[in-house]
Amino acid sequence: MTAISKGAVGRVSRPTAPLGRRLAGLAEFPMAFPAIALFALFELLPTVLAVVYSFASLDSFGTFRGFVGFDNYVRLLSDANSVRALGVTAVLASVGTVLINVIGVGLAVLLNHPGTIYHLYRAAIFYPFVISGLVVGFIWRAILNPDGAINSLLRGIGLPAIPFLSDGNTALATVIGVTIWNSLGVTVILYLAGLQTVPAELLEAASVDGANAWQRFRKIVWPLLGPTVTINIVLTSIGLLRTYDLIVSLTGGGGPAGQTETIAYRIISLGLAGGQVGQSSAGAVLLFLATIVLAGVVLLLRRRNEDIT
Amino acid sequence: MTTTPSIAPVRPTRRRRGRAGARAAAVVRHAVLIPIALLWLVPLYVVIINAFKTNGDIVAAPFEIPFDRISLEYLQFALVNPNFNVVGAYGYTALLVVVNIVLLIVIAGPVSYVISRGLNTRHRALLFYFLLGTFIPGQAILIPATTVLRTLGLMNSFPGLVLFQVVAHLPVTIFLFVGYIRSIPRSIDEAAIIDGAGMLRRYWSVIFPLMRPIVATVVILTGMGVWNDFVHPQIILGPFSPKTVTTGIYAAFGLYVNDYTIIFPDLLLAIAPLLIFFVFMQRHIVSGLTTGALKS
Repeated sequence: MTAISKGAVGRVSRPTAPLGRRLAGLAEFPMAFPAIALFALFELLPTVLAVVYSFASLDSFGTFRGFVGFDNYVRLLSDANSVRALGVTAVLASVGTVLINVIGVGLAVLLNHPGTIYHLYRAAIFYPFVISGLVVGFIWRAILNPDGAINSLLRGIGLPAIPFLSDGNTALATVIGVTIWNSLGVTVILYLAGLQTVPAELLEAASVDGANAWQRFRKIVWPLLGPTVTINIVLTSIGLLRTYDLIVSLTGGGGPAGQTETIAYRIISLGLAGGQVGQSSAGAVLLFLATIVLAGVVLLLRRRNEDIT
Repeated sequence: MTTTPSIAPVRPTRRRRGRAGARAAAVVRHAVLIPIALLWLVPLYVVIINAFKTNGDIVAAPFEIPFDRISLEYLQFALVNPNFNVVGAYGYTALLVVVNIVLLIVIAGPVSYVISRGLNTRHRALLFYFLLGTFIPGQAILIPATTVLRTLGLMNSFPGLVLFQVVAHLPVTIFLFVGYIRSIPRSIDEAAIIDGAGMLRRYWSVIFPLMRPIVATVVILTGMGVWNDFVHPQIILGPFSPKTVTTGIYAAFGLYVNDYTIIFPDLLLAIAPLLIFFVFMQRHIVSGLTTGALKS
């Protein structure tokens, strides 16, 4: 509703713009130009090229050989490795997003207390945020290797070693686990910021009225946390759809036998080493669309939810 | 683990139960939080202590500290290792961070001022134009971007990498700047207009000095993003250029994948600057993250 009225105001003011404001427009141009031009050159042009390449045939030097319709998409979707990469990404993004957000809300509620000890807990969960995903992957690989710290501990107490990274199914679970370890802190911090907006008097009033902790959470905290939940789900899922660095280091680029290869990794390996720029670009367009659809759906659901309540 | 809903209507009883309940709740909280904190801190502990141990000690007892055999030798070797020049990588990455931040602020500031003070549809369209960037996955456009960079002669070069990284950080930065400048009263601009200052002059001498908190946020977010970036330097700089911390460690671990006396010291050196940064800047990192994420 507000969007319409805002648009109307913008439209009314345009025809009456005096000469002075038009001159201001001239002054604005040099200030805005560098950012507009660089953004067009290094962000929009590559995006347009990705779309064009996805419908084109290119030789291994990247020279254009004409349009081929949806050939690249068909070949991408009939290539077992690429289909598996799409599946791995879907599993990682959906399972990861759900777990990170469920655990994240719970931890944020537990951590939402004053005191040094809670500050230290927060710091402990948050610190991976400052470390590169690549290095996080290398750290965990060193720990989860067959002769790494965890398996050495297991052998020490007489248990069999776990093939964290060498068995296909276990490896994907390991990737999800390390992803959670890596991203949970950010989510918790954002939920904690959201919890700050819940008025303490409201909770006190509710507990005076006899509401227990779960009722207070369900009836007061959760509805007020709504916008934070939306942002967190969008941010986590978009971030996980792009998982790349962690795969490079943790599973040495999608191992074992490509069973942890993500679509972001596939796009780059197809485009560079594989010389399949067309298929790589088709993958890029699919990833781009998935990002937009996902953000759109979450925001739409959210808006509908807010209309009901 | 919440206490069962109390049915007891008598006030004093409930208050006593409440105090005991609060203590029980605190115990439950710590019982959950301590194992989680340990799960997060153990990898850090393993990296730190094993950077000083022999390969035999690391494999046999990864969680123990053999006080009589710990040595600085492996860390010293990591500093002069010809296959991964850590000191050089620190320098090169720091240079990359500084050039990125300066360029980003110089490019994003004026356009944000134009957008936030403009009243027309074109100003709103301009903001929307940059916000498109937040939906474009960086890795998805990297291959076509190499074509653009190659055409411009910027592939395998420092300027090419910097320009691409600056543009990657433009959307978030412009968004944060616009939000902040809008909160600065227009009366401040008007005083400068009366003094006859042009728009660019007005921005740098009147508005920019007021933007310190948001500039700090951008410096922190961009600095961490560039320091930790792997895929852009790896592909745009190519294999023969100087290494950043991330591309350097990637190249080194390709050679020594099984030698823990190389791996752990290198990992410690890779995370040490960031951990020090984290310890001193935690509050600013958190506020930067929350303004960055919750505003969008």
